[in-house]
Amino acid sequence: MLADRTRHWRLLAAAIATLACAWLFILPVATVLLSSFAKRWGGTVLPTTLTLRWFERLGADDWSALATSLEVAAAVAVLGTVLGLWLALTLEERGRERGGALLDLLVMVPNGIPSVVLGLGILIAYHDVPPGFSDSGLIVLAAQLALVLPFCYRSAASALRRELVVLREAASSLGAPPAMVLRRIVLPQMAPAIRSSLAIAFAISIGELGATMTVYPPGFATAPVLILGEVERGYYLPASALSVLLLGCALLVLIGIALPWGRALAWSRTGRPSPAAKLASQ
Amino acid sequence: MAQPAAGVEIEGLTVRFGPKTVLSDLDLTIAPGEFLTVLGRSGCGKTTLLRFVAGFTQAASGRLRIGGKDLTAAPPHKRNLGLLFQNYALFPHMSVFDNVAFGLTARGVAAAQIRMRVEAALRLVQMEASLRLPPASLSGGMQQRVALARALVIEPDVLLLDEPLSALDANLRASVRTELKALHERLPHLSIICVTHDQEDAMVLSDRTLLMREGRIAQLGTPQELYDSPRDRFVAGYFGAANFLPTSLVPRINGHAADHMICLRPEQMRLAPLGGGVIEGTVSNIEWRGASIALSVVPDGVPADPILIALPRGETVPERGARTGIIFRHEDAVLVGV
Repeated sequence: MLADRTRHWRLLAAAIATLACAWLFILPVATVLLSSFAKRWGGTVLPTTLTLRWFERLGADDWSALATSLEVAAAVAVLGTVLGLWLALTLEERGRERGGALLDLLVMVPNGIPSVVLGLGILIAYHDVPPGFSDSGLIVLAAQLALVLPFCYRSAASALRRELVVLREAASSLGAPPAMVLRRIVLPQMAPAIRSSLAIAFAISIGELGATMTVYPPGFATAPVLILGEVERGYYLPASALSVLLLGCALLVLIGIALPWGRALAWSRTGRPSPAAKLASQ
Repeated sequence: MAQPAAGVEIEGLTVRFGPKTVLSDLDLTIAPGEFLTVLGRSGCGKTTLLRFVAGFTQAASGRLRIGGKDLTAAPPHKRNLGLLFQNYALFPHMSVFDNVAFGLTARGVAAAQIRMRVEAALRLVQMEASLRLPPASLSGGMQQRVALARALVIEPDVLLLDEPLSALDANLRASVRTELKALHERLPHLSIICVTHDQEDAMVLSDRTLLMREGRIAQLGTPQELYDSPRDRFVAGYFGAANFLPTSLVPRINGHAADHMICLRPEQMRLAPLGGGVIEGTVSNIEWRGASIALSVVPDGVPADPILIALPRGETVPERGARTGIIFRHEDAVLVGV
């Protein structure tokens, strides 16, 4: 009786959660998807005629913005992950004492600053030094890197478990110099954290608007900037078309990062079977 | 593994963690081929001593020489020591073979050599059948053998064992202990330092035992020396069970300073008829231990803890609550400082 009632409540809770998710997330995305293929959409529940017109009308600006978005996101993901790993390993060795604790806090600061403010800060601080920085894509990269760093650092730091410390000690006691310990023990053991760091940095970067809007120089608009521009001018359907492309690309890359072959690749790069292992398996 | 035997010399070792002094001014020499167990409660500094030898702990002062070479400042990967970790620390993403081969790869040994030596090391610990398995698929005891092979294959100057038996269940402990002893006999040139909190490990395995207390040496000697002539009450009480009684009970010793007691092991105590014992008391507890029966007797009028008596099997065991006399041979009594 009682178990039955608990089960009913659980089902109800699950249903409410599902509905909330659908309402908050799935429905809007579906709407964007549908409207990108709609000839017109007004007054009816669903669009009456489907068309590829909005995709055909995408101009050189749109494609280049899409390319910029993907390039910046890829660079931010890779740089952020490398930087996060490096910071986490450095801070860990310092034992989080004195300077370490301060740096630990400092890395997390961008999380607490509105992205527009961060962008403004970077723009003012670096608008003419070094030369060529603020009028190139580098400034977009810098702003987004600052935004993703806390997340990359966190995922790397949380992977530096106590067991990993022991594994590293075991490796160095066996005669492995630090570089070999990093390559054959630390990186393979941190592969899941590296993948989650890449994914979260990529996802944040590809959707980032606040800091990017503030700092982007002419010719370096990202896809979200263009989408916002069209929305402001009332072009919802063309904006949807670009959004769907952005969404598709992001999804492909994220799936790529999450797929098992991502792990296999990280493996072969960092923990490849030694010549000895090949011999053994003959 | 015919390398020249290497001894270990530690001189004036002091280690501090912040304000806490973990090891203070410790001198220790381990002869080539010696099996030394380092025994003590948690926090006594025994693990720190091991980590200093391995190169993971910085000393405030002191020197370390292994095989005559000064290694005080050498990083861990340049010390050529075999280290067996408490939880084995096998690399989970590598096969058994790659785990054992790791140290040889780090030394740039040729692949064909690696294969031969890894196989020989795995044969030594009877794990040659598990070459290609991941460590996680092995039982705890098997993982430990692999870890041991991994530490031995590099032909270390000294083998360091950190609580090697504490993660094993009681039956396995005894057999692995016996194997470690056999291993030491097969590799007579290998010096071994084994940190443990289990006195039985020390008794069975070691040539000498170092009992530590609060960062200092409580006593260093053969297990028999520690058992039969403990330097003080701490050593006697830690290394085996012991009864501490007032010196007044033994005329030969009576008259010594008040800060001494006599120490008697449970197997040195015998029951006697009432009126015929040195001490009399009431049986408060009886434990059946298989080979012997452990009695606790609360003595009359003597300020001491219950007296432990190990009765050999077959002797008449009094009931709980019964009164009995206790005797012992005066020459068994050892004088210890309190």
